[in-house]
Amino acid sequence: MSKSASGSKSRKETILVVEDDRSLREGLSMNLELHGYTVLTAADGEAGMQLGFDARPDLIVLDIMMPGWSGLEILAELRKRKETVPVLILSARDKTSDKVTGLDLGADDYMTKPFDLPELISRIEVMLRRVRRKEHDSPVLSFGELTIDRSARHVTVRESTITLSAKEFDLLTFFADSPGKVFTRETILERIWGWDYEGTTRTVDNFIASLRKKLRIDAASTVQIKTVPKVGYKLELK
Amino acid sequence: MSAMKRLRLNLNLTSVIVIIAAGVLLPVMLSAVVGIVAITMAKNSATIVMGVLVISFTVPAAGCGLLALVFAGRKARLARQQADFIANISHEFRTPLSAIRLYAQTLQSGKLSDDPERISMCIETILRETTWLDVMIDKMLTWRASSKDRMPLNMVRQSLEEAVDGAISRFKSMVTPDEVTLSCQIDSHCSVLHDPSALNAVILNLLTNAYKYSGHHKQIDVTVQDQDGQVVINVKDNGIGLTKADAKQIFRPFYRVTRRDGRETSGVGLGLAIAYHLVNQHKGKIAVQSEEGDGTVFMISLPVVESAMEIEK
Repeated sequence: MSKSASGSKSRKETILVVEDDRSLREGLSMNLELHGYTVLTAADGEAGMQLGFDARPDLIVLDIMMPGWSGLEILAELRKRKETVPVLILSARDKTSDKVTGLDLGADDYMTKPFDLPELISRIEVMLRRVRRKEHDSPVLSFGELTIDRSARHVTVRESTITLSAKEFDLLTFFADSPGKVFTRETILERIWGWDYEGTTRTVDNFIASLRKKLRIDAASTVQIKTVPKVGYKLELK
Repeated sequence: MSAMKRLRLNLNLTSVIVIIAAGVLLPVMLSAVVGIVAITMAKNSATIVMGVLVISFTVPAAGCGLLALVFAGRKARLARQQADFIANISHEFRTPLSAIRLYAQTLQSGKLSDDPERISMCIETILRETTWLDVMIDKMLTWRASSKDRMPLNMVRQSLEEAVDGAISRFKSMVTPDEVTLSCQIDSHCSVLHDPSALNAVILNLLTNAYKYSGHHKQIDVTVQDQDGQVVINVKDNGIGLTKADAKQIFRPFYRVTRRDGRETSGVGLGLAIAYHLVNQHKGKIAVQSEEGDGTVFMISLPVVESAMEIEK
C-alpha cells in the first residue's frame, strides 16, 4: 500500500465488533487480530454507538439484535451523520426483508448466523480493499496552505516540503481525515501507537507540539491544531 | 387476471369471518333500532309484539357477530405471537450454533497451532455452547409437552440434593468460571416427592436467568432450607431486578421484560412459565421477590413427605 518514509511496518485497519454474545464477540475479536487487524469491541448498543463515532474504526461488524440501541438504529444514525465507514451486518434472521432493510439503511454487506468464518474474513478484506483503493486514488489532501500527499507520504506548507517522522505523518493524516473533529489523547494514543503502547498520553502532547513547530503553525496560519481544554485536540481550518 | 389472484389470496379464513361479521352486524343493528322504535312508539299491541320479536332476533345475532369478530382478533394475535416465537427461537438456537462453528473453524484454520492455551479455550467454548443448545432444546420440548398436558413425571421420595446439585453442575458447564461467583448451601435433607430431572430443569432455568440479567461480577446464591413443613429453594442474584409490574407478569408464557427503551429482552419467555407449571404439578409454589436495580430472589417451596424409610417405621 503506501510506502512509509522510515520503513515502519504496514499497519492494518481498526475494526469495531459490536456483538452482545460474549463467545461470538471474543471469537471474532481473536480471529480478526490473528489476521493482523486492530480490534475494538462493544457488548451492547450504547457502547457500539459511542465507539462507532468516537474511535473512528475503519470497518464495523454489527450484530442486529442487541440490548439497548439495535444494530439497525446505530447504522441509521451513522449514515444520518454522513459517516461512510463500511458496515457488515451479522444477523440470526435470514428473512429477505431484513436483508433488504439492512442494505437499504446503508450496510455494505450482510451475513447471517451461523456464518462461515473464512467467508466473513474475505468479505471484510474486500470492503477494506475498496476503501484503500479509494484512498489511493485520491491521495492528496489540501487544506489551505497545507498539502498532504498520502501515497508519497509528503507534506508541503506554503510550497516548502516538510520532513515528518512516520508517526508524525500518521498523526497529521489522522487529524486531516476528520477536520474539525475532536479526539481525546487516549484515542490518539490507541489509534496511532496501538493498544500495546506502554507510554503515556504525554507522548501525544509532545508530538502535537513537534507537529505545530514543524508545520510552522502560528496564530496567522489557516490550518490550526487546536487544543480543546479537558478533552483533546482537533485540526481546524480558519 | 393477477388482480383476481391477489384478491383470492387475501381471502383467508380470518378476513372472511371479519367480512361476514361486519356484513351481518350492520343490518342487525339497524333492525334492533327499528325494534326499539317500534316498542317505544307503539300505538297498539301488535306493533309491540313485532318490536319484541325483532329485538329477540337482533340481539343474539349481534352477539354472534361480535363473538366472531373477537374470535378473528384472537386468531390474528395468536398468529403474530407464533411468528414472533419462531423468530425468537431461531435466534436462541443460532447464537450458540454460530459460536460453535466460529470456534471450530478457528481451530481448523491452524492459526492457533502454536498456542495450546487458546486451543483449549476454543474447545471449552465449543463444549459450553453445545450444553446451552441442549438446554434450549430441552426447554422447547418441555414446553410442548406441558402445554399439551403430556408431561409425565417420574416422582421419587428423596431429598432435593440430587436435583439442586445436578442443576448447579450443569450450569457450571455452561459458563466460564470467572464469570460467576456461585454459592450453594443445602441445609435441608427432608424428603420431597418430586421428579429430579424436572426440578433440575426448573432450577437450571432460574440460574440461567440470574446469569442473563446480571451485569459484570455476577453473584448467584442458592440455598435449600426447611421452613414450616416445606422445603424452600432460594435462587438469589445481584442483577438488574424487576419492576413491580414485571414481577406480576413474569410467569406468563412468552412474557419478557420490557426495558426502559420500550424493547423486550432476548429469549423466548417460556422458562418461567414452564417452571410455574412444573412446580404446580409438584403441589408446590414458586414466587419472586425483587427490587428494580437491586437483584432478584426466586423462591420455590415444596411440601415435605415422610421418607419411605420413616413410613416403614
